[in-house]
Amino acid sequence: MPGFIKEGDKEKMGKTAKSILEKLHISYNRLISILILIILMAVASIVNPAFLTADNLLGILVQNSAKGILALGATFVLMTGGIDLACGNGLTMIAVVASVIHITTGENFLVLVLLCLLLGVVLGGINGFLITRMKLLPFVATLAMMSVAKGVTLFASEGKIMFLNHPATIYIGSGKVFGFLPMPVVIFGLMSAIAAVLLYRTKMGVAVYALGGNKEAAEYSGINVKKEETKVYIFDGICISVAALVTVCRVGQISPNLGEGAMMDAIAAAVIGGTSTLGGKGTIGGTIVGVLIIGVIINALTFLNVPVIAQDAVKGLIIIFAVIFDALINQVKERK
Amino acid sequence: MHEKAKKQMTAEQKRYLFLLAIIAGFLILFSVKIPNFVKLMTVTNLIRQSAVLMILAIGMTLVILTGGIDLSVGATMALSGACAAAVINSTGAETPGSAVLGMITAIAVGSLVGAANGYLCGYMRISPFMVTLAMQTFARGLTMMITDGSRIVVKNPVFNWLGGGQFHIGPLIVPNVTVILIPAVILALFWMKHSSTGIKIYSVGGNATAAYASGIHVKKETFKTYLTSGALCGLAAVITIGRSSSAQPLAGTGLEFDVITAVVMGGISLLGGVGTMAGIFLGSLLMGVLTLGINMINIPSYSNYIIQGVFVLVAVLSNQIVSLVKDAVNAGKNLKDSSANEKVLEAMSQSKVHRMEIKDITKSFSGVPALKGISMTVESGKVHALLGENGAGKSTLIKILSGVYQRDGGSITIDGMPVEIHSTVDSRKLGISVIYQEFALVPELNIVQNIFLGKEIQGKGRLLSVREMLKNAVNLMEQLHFNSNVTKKIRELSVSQQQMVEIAKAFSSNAWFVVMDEPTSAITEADKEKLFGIIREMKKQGIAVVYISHRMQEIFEIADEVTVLRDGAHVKTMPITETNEDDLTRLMVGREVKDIFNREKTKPGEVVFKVSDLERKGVFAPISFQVRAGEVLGFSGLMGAGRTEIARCIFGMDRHDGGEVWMKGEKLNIRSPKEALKHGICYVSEDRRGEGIIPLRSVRENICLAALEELCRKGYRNTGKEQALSSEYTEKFRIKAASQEQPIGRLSGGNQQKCCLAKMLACKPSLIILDEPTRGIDVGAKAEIHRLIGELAKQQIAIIMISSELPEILGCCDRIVVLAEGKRTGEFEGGKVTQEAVMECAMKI
Repeated sequence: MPGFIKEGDKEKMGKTAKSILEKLHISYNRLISILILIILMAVASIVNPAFLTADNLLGILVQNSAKGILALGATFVLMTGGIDLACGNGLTMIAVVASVIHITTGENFLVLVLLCLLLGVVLGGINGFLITRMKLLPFVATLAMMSVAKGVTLFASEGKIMFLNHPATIYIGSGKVFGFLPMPVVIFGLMSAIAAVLLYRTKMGVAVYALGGNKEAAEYSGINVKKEETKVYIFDGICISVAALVTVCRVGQISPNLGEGAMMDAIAAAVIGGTSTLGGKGTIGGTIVGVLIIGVIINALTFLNVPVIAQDAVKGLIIIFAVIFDALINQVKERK
Repeated sequence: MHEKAKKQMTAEQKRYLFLLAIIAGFLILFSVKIPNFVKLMTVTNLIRQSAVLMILAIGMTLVILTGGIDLSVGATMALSGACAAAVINSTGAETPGSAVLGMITAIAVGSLVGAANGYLCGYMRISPFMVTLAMQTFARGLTMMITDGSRIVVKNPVFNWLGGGQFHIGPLIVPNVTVILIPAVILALFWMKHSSTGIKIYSVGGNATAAYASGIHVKKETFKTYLTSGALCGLAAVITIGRSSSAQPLAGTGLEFDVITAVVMGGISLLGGVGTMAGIFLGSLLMGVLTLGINMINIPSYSNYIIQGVFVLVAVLSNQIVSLVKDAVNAGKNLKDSSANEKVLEAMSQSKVHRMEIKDITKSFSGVPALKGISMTVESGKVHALLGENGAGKSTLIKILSGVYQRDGGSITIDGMPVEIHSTVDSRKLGISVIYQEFALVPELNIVQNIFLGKEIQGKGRLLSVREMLKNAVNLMEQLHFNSNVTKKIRELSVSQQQMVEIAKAFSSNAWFVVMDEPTSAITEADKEKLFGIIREMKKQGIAVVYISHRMQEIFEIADEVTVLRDGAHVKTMPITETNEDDLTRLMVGREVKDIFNREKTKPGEVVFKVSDLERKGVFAPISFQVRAGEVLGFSGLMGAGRTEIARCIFGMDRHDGGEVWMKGEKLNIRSPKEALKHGICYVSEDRRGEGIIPLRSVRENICLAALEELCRKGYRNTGKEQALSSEYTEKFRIKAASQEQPIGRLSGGNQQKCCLAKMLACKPSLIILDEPTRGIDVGAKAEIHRLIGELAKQQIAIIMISSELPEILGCCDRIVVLAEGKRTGEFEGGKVTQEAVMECAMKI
């Protein structure tokens, strides 16, 4: 039966207001993923004594910033019960097209940034349009866009590799704020903050949970479902474009296979972080932890001199175990 | 009779024609653009091009039909190929023996990966998307390690024969792969249509729980589809290696998406359970033609990707273009006249007392009228009951008021001014709030967030004012005497509490017009009293309430006026004081219903079924009872008393923690519905949609589902037998369906229920458990079900009937066991007990 609101509780209401948000963030799943991260870090620091140095840790963050930003978008999309298969190819497309125009128009950094964002909004907008207005399944719509993005990439790059040498791009890619915080990490942090505010403190965030948890309920409650869902895909598009920008600036060398495996990593990070592929469940903090888990694993494998080609096998295996682990935990919970 | 069946055929055929037309179009385009196309474009190349795709598409289709997905096919193919090549080269390279070993390796490795996928997705029920995505990465990485990143040359002529060679039939050059491709295609088509596996796969994808409850081993069937997909990857690997005489580490990169594209273009729905095998071959063929033509037309390869992407969209959109255009036109129209509401709102703000007049509302769905001119008037401070059988149009009318549907004709006026309701937003602005039968709550959000869903309070910079919402929610809950921690998530609440949240949600919306759709169907007696208190409070505050319920007593307790609907038409509106229960029932069904709850009682025979100390911890306490042949044992009690849970344990849907179950003197150990059915125990679920029917499959298949094994001979279906069985029951039970081939989802609730009953009776049970057999079905169908129960008893079948309706339990049962909170609190002889006595036991805690 329902617990009673006691007198003491009423006084605590002010505190409860805060704890509503806190409660939303901290779930069982996320505790577990944090635990996994800590264990992995412990193992990594045993394997590699230099693991727990600031340099190495920042290195992990820098390497995974773009992936992380992509994962933020993927988290939103997954939470609405959707999927974005086009995010990896979309990243490549945005990177290549923006770079080509950037280079041919005389290397104006502002052009590069604006182009990236514009392309991201367009990509997200098309996805959103196809899914909400044309009523396509997200899997089908983004599958088609994945193909289209790949075609556009090949068309724009003509198979060539380009180099970016603009000072501003170099600063975004490898510059440091306050002399120690790498720019990509700052951008990742900024995007995470924006995502968190959107998810927890705006109507759009409530709509994201509602869309994935019970779409009919959202509709019946007067939420403009189509509009909110489109917004989610546009936000996803913006995440893709920022990820593309960070990648372009960090790598400095643009080739048509830039975003290979990015989709897989982004979705895996979100899911390892406790986002449900069925929608309705997920947190920003969880996704960040998920990104770090993958990052730490790759970092340790690289230190162990596991060849890059074998790293994929290990990564796949670890994701499988993470998902199995999650399923087992859920089954135990269900039985209770 | 046969028109509907014909229509469906054409829908499927339309897709085939559409695909064929596109293929033909491309062939013509290419032959105009490429001078040598017709000559070069022999069947040979096309078959080569699409063989691998077609073979993989078969596996993918099976997987997708169960509601899953296999993203690992490309990588699995590469892995099987690499393993096979390694084995061949280490066992003698060019001998036939090593070729055989290689083929076995390829298929074994593929099957192994498939089995791993199948185990994880089927038995562990992990998201197929994640499992196969991870497996893709894993398999690709493994392939890289085996091949060391470079190709392995295979020079074995026997091994390469399948993929590389060709032979002549007259002027035609036929690639050897045809030898395996054509039988594979024919087998797949035949298998899906004539084997019991086919219908099992459709059932699993259509409604897994219902399939499980019909004795289908869902996990095994799912496992089998992934296993098949994996094995076919092995076969595809053999063909791929043969074509290029080498195993490539990057073979099949992105192939899974090509396969999915072909399958989707062929009409298989990614949601599972929909589509046919034939379509996918056309889909694959189209992909083949496209790739081949573009390769030859000498345009850059990127266009291939773009065209492919566009084609997926075209193929899928072509199905829904008509409805999309209609929607767009309506949306434009709605934009124009929603502005009229603003004036009404302004006028409404002058007073607190309003009056809504609904006049001659009509609405039809794809030509079938659902509402044929409904009129009613609802005033502030009155409770207006809406009464009618299922399908009478109550829900449609509500959905028009709440903006979910748009009316076709008629008018809605508030205080004499016409209003337009095009969306749920419009409806809410006009002060209309609806509490739906299925809760419109979001499980992962807490009570506060749900109460304010869609009307969140925003503070500075469009950020949510969490604190303010919390304060308002707490006040609201106190006002409603509903004690619960408002920061609890919905999924942590009981059904009854969820209903209260729904009511709070409607209450908080400052609506003057509240619709309640069967609000008491899921709450306890105590909460019902609370609810009625709230409704009376709402009346005092001048809120107009439209109250829908099947329970007459409630209507007489709470309503001021009543409107009766029948078959989408308005029958009568009158003050509640001027009518009585018999009157209303007559108006609802349009005929006299005599003693619907009585049946001819027969003398029970021997004890057939016995349960001793059956227990499920935390759900129900140890319970013992027995049922005789031809006896109807009733289980009565409130929601959550443990009645359904006991039934589920007996039927093997849930595990029990202790106790024994005996059937005809034999002790049983039942762990799944399959085993229960084998021992003659049947269960007709209370949740018809969720656990009873496979909505998209035909009446015939649904009726035959549980008895499938008996109807099949060595796994092959016998359509004649199936038809005989299903027509026997459709006649006997008077099931109203356009034809046996009509999808069961299109039947009315009562007819669906009869089908569920038929499905279980087809297993020739000794014991049948009926869980709320008449819930949510209309009065006429109810009487029919009661008649059937009487007939079953006559046939000496033991019956356990669970029902929340006391008159039904008292009228139908020979003996009644009453439960409360998982404990037995009383047992009565039927016919010698009053409703009050049973109710008293049910409330005992």
